[in-house]
Amino acid sequence: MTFISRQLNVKRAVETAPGGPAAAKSASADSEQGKHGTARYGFLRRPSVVVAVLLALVVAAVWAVAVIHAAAPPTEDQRVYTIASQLQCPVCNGESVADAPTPIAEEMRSVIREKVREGWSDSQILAYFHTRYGDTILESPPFNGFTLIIWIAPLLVLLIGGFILWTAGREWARSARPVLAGAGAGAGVVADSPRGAERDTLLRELRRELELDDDPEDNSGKEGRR
Amino acid sequence: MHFTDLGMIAQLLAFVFAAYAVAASALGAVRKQSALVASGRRAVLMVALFAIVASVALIISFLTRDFGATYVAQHSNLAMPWYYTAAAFYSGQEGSLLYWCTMLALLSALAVVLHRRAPAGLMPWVVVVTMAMDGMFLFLLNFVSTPFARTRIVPSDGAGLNPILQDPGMLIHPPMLLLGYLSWTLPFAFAISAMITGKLDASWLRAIRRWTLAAWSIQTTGLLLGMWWAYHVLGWGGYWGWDPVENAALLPWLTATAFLHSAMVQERRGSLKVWNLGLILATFCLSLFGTFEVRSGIISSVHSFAYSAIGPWFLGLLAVAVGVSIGLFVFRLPRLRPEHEFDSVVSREGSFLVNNFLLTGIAFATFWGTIFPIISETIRGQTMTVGTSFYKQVNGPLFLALIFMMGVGPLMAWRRATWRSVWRNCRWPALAAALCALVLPLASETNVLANIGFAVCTFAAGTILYELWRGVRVRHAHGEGYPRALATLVRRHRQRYGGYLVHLGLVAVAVGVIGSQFFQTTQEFTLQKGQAASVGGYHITYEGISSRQADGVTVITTRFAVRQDAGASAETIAPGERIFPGFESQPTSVVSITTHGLTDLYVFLSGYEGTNQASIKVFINPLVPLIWLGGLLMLLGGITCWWPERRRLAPRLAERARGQPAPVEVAV
Repeated sequence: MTFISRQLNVKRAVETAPGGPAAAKSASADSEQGKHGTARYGFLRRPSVVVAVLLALVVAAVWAVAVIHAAAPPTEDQRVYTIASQLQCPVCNGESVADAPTPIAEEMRSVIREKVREGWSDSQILAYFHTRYGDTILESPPFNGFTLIIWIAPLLVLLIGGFILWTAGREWARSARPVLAGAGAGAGVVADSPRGAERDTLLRELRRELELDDDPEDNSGKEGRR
Repeated sequence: MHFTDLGMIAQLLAFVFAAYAVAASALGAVRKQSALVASGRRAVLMVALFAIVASVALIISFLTRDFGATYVAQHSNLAMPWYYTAAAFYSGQEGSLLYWCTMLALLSALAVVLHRRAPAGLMPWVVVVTMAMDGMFLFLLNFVSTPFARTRIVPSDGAGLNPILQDPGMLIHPPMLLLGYLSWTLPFAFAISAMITGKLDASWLRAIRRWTLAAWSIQTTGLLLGMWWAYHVLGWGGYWGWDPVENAALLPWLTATAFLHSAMVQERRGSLKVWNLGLILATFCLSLFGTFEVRSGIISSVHSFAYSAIGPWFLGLLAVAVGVSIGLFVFRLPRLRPEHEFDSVVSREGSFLVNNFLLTGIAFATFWGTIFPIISETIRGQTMTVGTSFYKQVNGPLFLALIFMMGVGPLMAWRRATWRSVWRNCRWPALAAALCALVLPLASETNVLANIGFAVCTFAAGTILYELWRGVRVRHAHGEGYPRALATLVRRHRQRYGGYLVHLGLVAVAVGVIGSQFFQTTQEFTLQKGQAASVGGYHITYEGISSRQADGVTVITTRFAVRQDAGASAETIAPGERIFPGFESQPTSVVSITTHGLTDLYVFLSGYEGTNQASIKVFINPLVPLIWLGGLLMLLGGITCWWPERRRLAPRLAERARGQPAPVEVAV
């Protein structure tokens, strides 16, 4: 049944396609594929898609190797900078200990360096400052307790927004389906401009514009007088 | 008689005319008396005239060093060169208010003149809204905080301008940013007028299209100039710190960008009406919030140069604006039915929806982080700091998704696209992205996050360039040379290709941001004369220090020789600092930034001991020049979109169509 309607659609596409034979050919190629897979995902069988998947696998492999072989351990300076940038300078406006030029920030940087040399871990050093100065010393609020709100709220809003978008999309897909069945996949293909049709339209437009450009100044002069 | 007296009179007259314009336009619109409406329109021109007179009077007071005026004495001194003295006009609370009023009056006058033939019913209400806004600010200017107040005892010299502000950035960034904020008043006014008159079709949107494009371009320029200024002056090696004031400037930009996209859906398909109105109202209210937040001092920031007691007034104004917007919005909700439903998510409209979802998501997270300290303070009595890592972790992925959508979205057809066609259009860019992802780890860039970012950027840039290439190729096949084909293509479809330029610029900015975020290296050195230090392939030798006087300013200059691994020839850099008279305790730094290829060598003089020892902080910032380059591209794209379409073509086409049977495809 679907096959017959598809055939009909192809026929209609041949008749109506502005691109003529080229468009029709491509449309029937599509229906050829439609016989095997579903029409919507038929493109998955194209060689280019296969190549893409293979390429993605190669990329993943290279990345995996790169990550495993990754990275020399950070130098002492880098560690001090990383830790200091996670602490807020207590006397400045919104500058981290790493960037602030104040004496107290300098002091804290040297404390961090000392601890790094003594072999403390990053989180130990951060915890050390946290217990001394409280929440406000941390550059961004901790991921627990009251300050969890700040992290959760944007995520929640995004989830809700995403959910609304998703349900709306499903709704449209459902209400649009009858139209799809009526007009047929062939019409979709034509509107979707296989290369021939698109090119023909563009060519026609281009020819027209070139013609317009052919008669130069005298015409625009007329335009100005009008 | 002083110029301040002239200014005082002028701003009072401006206020009176603004009040008259509101009353006459509203009455004229309600009673349908066109004479009153016309009178209100002319009053707008008078407001603009007197506001300009007041501004000029203030600038002249500055330039004539009239320290009898308190504002002049507080913000300038004799040592300042004339250009900073003139720019001190908007350096303080009162002056920036006056600047605000003047520019808004000018824009309103422009709107009145330009839209003489635009939707007639709208204009009186547009005048009412803009003049009500301007009138309220003029009220503050006249009766609450005036820049023209005088003291009896005239000081011999003024206090001077904060040294950080005595920089070329001062001449252009603040006026640009303020102009960006206030230019959203006009789209807002059109939206409010559309709601009042009930003419809620796309005509008001069409009327403001070019206003919004201009406002967006100005705002983008203001933001990028701010980044550039911060980068060149502050000496911390960065350009964006997610500071409350920076966030406040970013917020309206985000909603405005969302609006520019979703407005296209309404113009074409007549849907998303509620959403578009909401975005315009939000953009304006956020602009007001941005203007107000800096002044109020309720949120502490490194940028708070002007505190004042008019915070509550701004808060009141903001409350009125939000209240009126929401009230009218709810009132008109029944009329905001969409004309067409969406056909499919896989379509241009659908991609714009995703774009809006991401942009508003970023805006919400940024807003939330900005006001969280206040929430924390009221609930727990403890001020919380929300630092950059919050924004990086929340907004970073969202921005990346946005850039990905920037690649996919423009490839989708309106109404309904198939995955097939999308795939056909983006397979080559996808291949390029895959190659990028492949090459980077092989070239020993092993940071996974950065590589994902670069791959996505490659993809987005690839789709844009591929799209351009296809358009140019078609024209080239018909005998146009490549450059001419490109030029014609852009000229014929300004909005579309201008948009692509903006996208390309944003991709460049993103690459710059990713590069500097992930690969910045920094190191501090204390060097004796002749001693050398090495960092990231640069060898820096301290050569000496000198100091000189220039117009009362003490300029300390150090000299370092920089030699690269590969290149043998040395280059001299001169980081230093300037000490302004009256501000001896806060010297401003002169950062040395030299660009080698796409990498900035950023050297900041953090201290010196006599003539023999100097401490420097060296940052190596890869790809940062791309940010400024991308910014220029974005501005260029914005202007391209904004530039008026050539109207010559349309009548001629119509003429031809009349002469011969028109082919059906003319409607393309």
